[in-house]
Amino acid sequence: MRAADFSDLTVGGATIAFACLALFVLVPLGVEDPGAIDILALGPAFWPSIVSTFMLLMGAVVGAQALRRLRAGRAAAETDGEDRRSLATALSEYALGRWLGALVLLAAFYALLEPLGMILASMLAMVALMVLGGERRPALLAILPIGLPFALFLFFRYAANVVIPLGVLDPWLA
Amino acid sequence: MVWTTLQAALEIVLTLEAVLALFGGVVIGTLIGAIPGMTVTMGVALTLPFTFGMHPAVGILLLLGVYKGGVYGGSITAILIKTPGTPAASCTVLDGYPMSRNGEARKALDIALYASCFADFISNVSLILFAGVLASFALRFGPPEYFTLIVFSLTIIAGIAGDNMAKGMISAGIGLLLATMGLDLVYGTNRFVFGEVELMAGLNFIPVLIGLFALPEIINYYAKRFEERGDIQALAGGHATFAEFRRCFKSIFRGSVIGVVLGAIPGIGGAPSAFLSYSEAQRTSKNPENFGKGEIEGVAASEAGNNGTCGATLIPLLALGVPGDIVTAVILGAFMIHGLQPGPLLFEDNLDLIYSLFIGIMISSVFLFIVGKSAIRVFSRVALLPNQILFPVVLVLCVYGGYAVNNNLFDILVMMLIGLLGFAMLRGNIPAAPFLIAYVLGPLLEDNFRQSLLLSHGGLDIFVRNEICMIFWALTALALFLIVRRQRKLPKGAE
Repeated sequence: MRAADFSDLTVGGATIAFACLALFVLVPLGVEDPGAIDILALGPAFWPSIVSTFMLLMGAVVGAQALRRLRAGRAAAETDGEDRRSLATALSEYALGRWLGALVLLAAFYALLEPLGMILASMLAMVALMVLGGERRPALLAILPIGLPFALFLFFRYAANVVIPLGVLDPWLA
Repeated sequence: MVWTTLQAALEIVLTLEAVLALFGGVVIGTLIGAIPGMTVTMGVALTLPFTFGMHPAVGILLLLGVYKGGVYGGSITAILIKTPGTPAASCTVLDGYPMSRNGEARKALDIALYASCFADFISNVSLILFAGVLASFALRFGPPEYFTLIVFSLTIIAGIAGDNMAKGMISAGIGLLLATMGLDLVYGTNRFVFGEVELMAGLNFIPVLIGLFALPEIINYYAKRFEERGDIQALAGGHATFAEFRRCFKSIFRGSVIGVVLGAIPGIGGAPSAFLSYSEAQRTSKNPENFGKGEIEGVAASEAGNNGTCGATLIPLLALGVPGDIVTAVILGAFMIHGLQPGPLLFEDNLDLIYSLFIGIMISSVFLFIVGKSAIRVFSRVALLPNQILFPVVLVLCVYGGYAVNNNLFDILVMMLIGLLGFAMLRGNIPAAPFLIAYVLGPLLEDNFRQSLLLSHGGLDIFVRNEICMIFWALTALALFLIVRRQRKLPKGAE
């Protein structure tokens, strides 16, 4: 199975699943019924239902296209020419550990924004992401993560009048 | 009346703040355009939160500066490292990079700058000439006319959907669905709020925008094991001469006109314009065999076609309130954030703002020339900025920008979740641009549809009530016909 065909099949399946979820769960539960509606098309559920049905159809089209290519033994458009790769090769080019590390760092960054404040959380996130990306120069690892969040704080606080959450730095910078 | 308005506009533009914003915007845009992996859309999205404390005209001018600088900046890396900074600069690679390899990098960059500035100027003049006329015509529009116009504008999606139209439609569907979140405007009931107060106003535009265009690139960078970079050519050779500019002038002028015409049509954008201009230059050249091997006229033609779209894409935005491409969709969001609704009424209620934009946009052509000419060496170094520094910097900019909209950490959560969705779309080869266009136009489409039905008491004949509606339906049908024809012409298997 070619990587692009597998990807398209997944996209088609995921879209159909999401559209069904929207049509049969999210719209009935998430859209409040205002009561008597004279014209169906004016109801608040009409538009989301139409869009969900449209997505269902498009998901089916993408899935059918991928299946047709698989049956015909043809590669997907993007694997034509110089980019003919198997699924296994495509996956081996991805650094799963580094990617998961980045996701964990993003989640930690968000979680720390309130308790530590935006400046300190940004500093830590920058250092961690720079190291994760392979940066090892101590001067850069020190100057940039301190300088940028602080400069942004000064801009937003004093030029744009935005109140930046300061967390533990509140007693000194507020 | 006109003089008073013009005076008011000059008072806005000829301030230190406005001049600095415009100049700074061009510098930032050129830098962003010169960095491989950064797009103009991403640049405008990241700059948007910095406009909050500014006068609306000054903020919009900053964004326009980023837009124009970014489109030009894309040519720098296209010429020096065979990596177009923007999709529209991909045509510049054809002759720009061979020129660099032949030791004529400086000449290529010079002619790219001259062609860009000239085309930009022509495009700006066309904006000033045609936007007002179109806006006065659009004053006749009611909800049904707007609905049909937006249906036509949604055909933009076909132009930016990429190889797989169905995936572009899925992307648009997600955007349309997310745009329905919040309070229903007709009945005042909740849609997809699920008891969360933060969702009652719907998802804020900026976190969605940043999450969709900046975060997926960051996440994708950390997912990649290897990073490939092209050979970097030295900034070598002599400057382009006036004689060379004169030799290329015909192609530059033709490219500018092509850019204006294609730019004014929603959904076409810079890349097709650059390629059409390039092919016309090659077709009419005395030395067509030199194209692709380092022909200076090829660089000039592609850059003129590319930059000629910049001002013209603002014509439908300012006159009708519909974006001409993805960047103007972001700028439409910026207008809304500053409490303004582009369209014919803007020409009636805020003419001083329109005039100030016109004046500022003309000045931006001059700034583009100054910035490009004086700092080309610095910009060419920017291409070397390592990604392990670039992406953490962009992430912090995203977080500050996402927060600053409403001073609300919830928006950062939205941004990160949309970022993950955007990454999944990136991996699934689903284009993000249709999502954003649909997200911006979705509420307008639904509101005008429902307002029309309220006016007609449910009668669908209101959507064909006059010649304006009929023209937009005909244009929509024509656009769809052309799209289907283009799809059929694609090689089998390349849906």
